[in-house]
Amino acid sequence: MGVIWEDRLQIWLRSWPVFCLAGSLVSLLPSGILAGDIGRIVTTFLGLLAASILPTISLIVGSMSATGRSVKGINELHDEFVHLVGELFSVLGWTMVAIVGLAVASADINYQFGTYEPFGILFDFSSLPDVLKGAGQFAVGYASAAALAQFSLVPKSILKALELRHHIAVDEARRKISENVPSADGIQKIFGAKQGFGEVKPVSIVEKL
Amino acid sequence: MSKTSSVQYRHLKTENLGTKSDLKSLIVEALLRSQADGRSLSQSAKLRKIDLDQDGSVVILNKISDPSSWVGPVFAGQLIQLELGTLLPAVTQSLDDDTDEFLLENLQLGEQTQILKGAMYFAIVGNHVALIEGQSVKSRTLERYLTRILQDAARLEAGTPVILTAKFASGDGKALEAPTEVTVRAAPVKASSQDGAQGIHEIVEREAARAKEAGHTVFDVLATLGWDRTAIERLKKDIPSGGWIEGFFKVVIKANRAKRPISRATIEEALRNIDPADLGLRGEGSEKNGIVKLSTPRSVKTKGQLLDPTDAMLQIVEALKEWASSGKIDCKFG
Repeated sequence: MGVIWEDRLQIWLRSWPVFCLAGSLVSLLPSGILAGDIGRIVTTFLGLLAASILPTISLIVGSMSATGRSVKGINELHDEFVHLVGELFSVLGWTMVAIVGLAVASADINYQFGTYEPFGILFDFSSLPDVLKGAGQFAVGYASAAALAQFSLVPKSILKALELRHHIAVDEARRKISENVPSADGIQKIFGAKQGFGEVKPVSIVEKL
Repeated sequence: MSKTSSVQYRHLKTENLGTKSDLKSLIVEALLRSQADGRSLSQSAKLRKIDLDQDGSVVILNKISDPSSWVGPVFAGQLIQLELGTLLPAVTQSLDDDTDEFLLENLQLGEQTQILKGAMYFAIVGNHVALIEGQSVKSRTLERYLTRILQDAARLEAGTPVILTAKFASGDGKALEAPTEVTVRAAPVKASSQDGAQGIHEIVEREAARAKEAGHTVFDVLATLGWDRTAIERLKKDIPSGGWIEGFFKVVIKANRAKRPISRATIEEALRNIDPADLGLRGEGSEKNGIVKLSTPRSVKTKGQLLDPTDAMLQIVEALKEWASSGKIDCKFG
């Protein structure tokens, strides 16, 4: 029961309504809040997150090996890796969206937008900078939440790569053992029974005392 | 024909020999070393004859793997114990004869014939040893024999014995935690039978068991602990007919009233020659799920009463390979 609820919670935490909620909460923060120290902290954090993605992908790709696997096993491993790499790239994508959102939210827009009335329709652009900043903050919240929700894939991928390498190393060690162990023929050659071994001799050699 | 034999694992204790010591290389060096007459032990089985017990029996490293294979990872050998000038007790009449008792006689073998007390097969890879024990040629015999030839060849200092430790695991195959309590069972003693209706097989079996357990019985342990003879005799009389006496010796280390763990190395050395069925180890407050010594049963071809040497060696090497491949022992075969 506990495992099912845990799984459901994880799926729910990774769903778009949660990301929307995070985006909405960030967009409700005072305008321009991401331009200061908080923005710098968020940038550093997102930078670190993004920096971990590519090495993880190359580690996964490098783990693809035929050692100790069947063709079916290799195909399944390939499918799994393609899915994993796709997910990791999506983390990178969300990080980039967050950075763009951060840039918009922290931009100092000095241009004064006014109202325009082309073809008799009134367009009021005076609050456009605030709307843009709000949208930027929403994007930062949404994309950061999405990236964070997927970030657990990085340690999972590293552990998967470690497991594969361990499997490969064990397989190699076993192969080496098999190569070095003398074969049945080899043992026959070096430890063959001497001619006459186990021969049954007549009891006549035994005398009663 | 074939017979199921237990292939047992042993490992050289390197504590007093230096971590770089390699049992296989030491043995090969000892066997290739020239004797006073210019011949080496590897050339003649006669030179490998040692009177270990000084009781009229000799132990011989009778068969060894071909010296050209010694550069490889495996050294294989057959250790035998022979009883010299033996009289063979036997019954020479048919067991279907109608007689008040069967006559036990001594048979004299031909002058050049010696009785084989037992044969052991072993393979050594580095410091790893796998062996099939013979009836009276046990792992202890191999330890003593190797100690002797290595000391004679100056490959081992006097007073430093070869100790081949066993590897213990809990019943579920997991590594053994350092136990805090060790219980060793003394050999139980059955009340002496009052009725005379004992088959000849029963007598022979009992005599053989008695010989094996000599010095290890409950009464022997009690005598060692200072019980006087009268007390032991009285205790013997208290055993009802058909009953038996059992004794368990419990060992714990205590400091500040708390039990302290006994190291695994100590356990593996001290209990290496004890049947796991006679052992109890308790650790971390819970009884272990039985104790097993690393060993594996294998079916070995036989020739009459003897194990086929080639097949025995094949099974031993296969067992070593199996343990190495499954990660039970730290052996690379090369």
